[in-house]
Amino acid sequence: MVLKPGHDWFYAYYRDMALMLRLGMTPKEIQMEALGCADGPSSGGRQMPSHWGHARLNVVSRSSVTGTQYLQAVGCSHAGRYISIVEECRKRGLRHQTDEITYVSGGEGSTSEGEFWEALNTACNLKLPILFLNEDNKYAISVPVEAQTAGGTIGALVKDWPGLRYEELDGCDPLECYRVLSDVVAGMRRRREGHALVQAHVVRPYSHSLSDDERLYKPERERQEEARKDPITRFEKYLLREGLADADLLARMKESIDQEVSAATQEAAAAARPAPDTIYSHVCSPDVDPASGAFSTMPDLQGDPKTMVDLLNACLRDEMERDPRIVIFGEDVADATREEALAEVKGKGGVFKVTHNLQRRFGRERVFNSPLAEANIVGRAIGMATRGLKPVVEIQFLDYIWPAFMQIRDELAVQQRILLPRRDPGRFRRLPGRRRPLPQPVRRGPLHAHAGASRGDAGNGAGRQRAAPHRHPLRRSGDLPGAQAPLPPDLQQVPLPRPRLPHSFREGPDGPGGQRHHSRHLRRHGGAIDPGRPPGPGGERDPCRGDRSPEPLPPSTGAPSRPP
Amino acid sequence: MKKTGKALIVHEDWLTFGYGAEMAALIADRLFDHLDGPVRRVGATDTFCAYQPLLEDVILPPDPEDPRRHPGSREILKGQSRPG
Repeated sequence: MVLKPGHDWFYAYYRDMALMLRLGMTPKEIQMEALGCADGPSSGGRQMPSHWGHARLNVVSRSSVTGTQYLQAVGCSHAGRYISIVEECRKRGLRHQTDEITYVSGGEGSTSEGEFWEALNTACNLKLPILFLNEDNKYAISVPVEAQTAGGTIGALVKDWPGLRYEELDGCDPLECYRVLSDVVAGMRRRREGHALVQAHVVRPYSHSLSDDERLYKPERERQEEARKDPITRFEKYLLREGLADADLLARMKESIDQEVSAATQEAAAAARPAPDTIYSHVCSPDVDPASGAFSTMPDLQGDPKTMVDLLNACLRDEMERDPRIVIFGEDVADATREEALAEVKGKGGVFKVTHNLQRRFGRERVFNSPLAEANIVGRAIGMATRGLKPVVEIQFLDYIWPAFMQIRDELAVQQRILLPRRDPGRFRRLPGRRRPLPQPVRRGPLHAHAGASRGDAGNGAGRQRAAPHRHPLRRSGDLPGAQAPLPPDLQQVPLPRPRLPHSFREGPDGPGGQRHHSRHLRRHGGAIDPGRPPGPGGERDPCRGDRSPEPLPPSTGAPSRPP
Repeated sequence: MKKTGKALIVHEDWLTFGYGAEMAALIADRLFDHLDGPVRRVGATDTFCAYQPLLEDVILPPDPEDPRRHPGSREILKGQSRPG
């Protein structure tokens, strides 16, 4: 009632059904997700129920790995500010609202995740208009809040954070919720930056889930006390007491709601289920096929030979010149966060100088340092990409990537692929590019820069396209004599290798388009089979090929081999 | 391996970079002389596992505990592309 669908942005907790209904998600849509229907608006049968996602309403899906939503909300809000500053982005159709708010909610248990604190830190530091709603029901499944939070309440820990407005309210009282949240939101819209954390004390009306039985850890007296606070029965009594409704009206309302839910359930039960041969839909981008031949260009060799670092730098520079949606951030990637120093100093520009002079050229809105927090970097990049930016982030060493790996593996590769709305593919999703230096000849033990052993883990996983320069690392760093000589002096577009197909998807007896056969075949066997031998001449079906024609990069203009 | 001369590795992990690759490499390295055909693998498709059971059934491989539920095992081992 105080936030606007399609205007504000939402990272809604799985207990936010009331919010979702109010924003405009229909009971039928909710039931379609519960039953895994093909046209469910959140995921089309990929995601668990109550993991809300709705493109039209600006609701971004989130995973069960609770706590991951906070950093993405920060990135989303940051992107809104960036789009408002950079007119070129708006010309390319990226949307923002001048008074938009990003809403992110979670239970009190999720505030124990480190990413919650990383997000709060960055939100306060950048003064982003984010509303953190903490729905505090005092239990994370069976673990009570005193085992989660020092002092037993999150409020005591956050109320003095810089610029953060903190409010506490009775979340079981709809009128108090409306009064306090209206005021908080109005203040944020007016100032266009204020960030707030609202702690709502609520009860959990039943066990955590069907697999949980709260009688195992909650005494009867406590359960009865919670039942007395139940907002539905309490508000009903309030309406009767104040003469705002009579018993008959309430009974009729309940009956009509029951009928609506029942009808919605029946409609959802009759709706189509996803076809088995759609399992690869949205694993990769439906918009762009990076393995397409359209990305293959011939190098235009000119100028003096360069090191690979110089070439990466030139490539980023040219791409940033071409596309205002590209932002670069990470640890030490800026030339100097304190801009006034740039008049006197050469600038850092990355521990390997890959981003040197990019801040000087494009400004600090586009090239900036992150906190020393890898999940922060990737989580925010995902939120930015949701809004259509093309963040390029750097993790200094591959060994430093693990704090971010949950965001990469669960969110970037899996979760964020799930929620592509069927009819509007790609509207939300422009996934970030990442570059991370592969092992450099720095010998500082297994957990600093020894990245060789990490490659297997980094290689595993669906939904990510990985690329690495194939020259020896010493050559990349320019430390070997003659290292500069063999590298091509100019930029060239190279299509990414096509993902290998599981054999059962490669060919059917009826050749191209034999999908009917594939479906039957899959149903009988399941899983993927090692290809084992080259594909036959039959129709090759590419799981990562979108329905649309590829959108290759236009040829680079400018002189690519020019030093930065 | 010595008894059958064949190896079929089945796991729920993704096929690509799954641990079956390491096992296949070990078998090829140490038991090559006993091999009577290529080592083959069956794993989950390289995609996230869906909530919808109809999709889950095609994403995850069949139960490895019960070889009878692998109607295509022999064909897979023979290197045929369309088991069963």
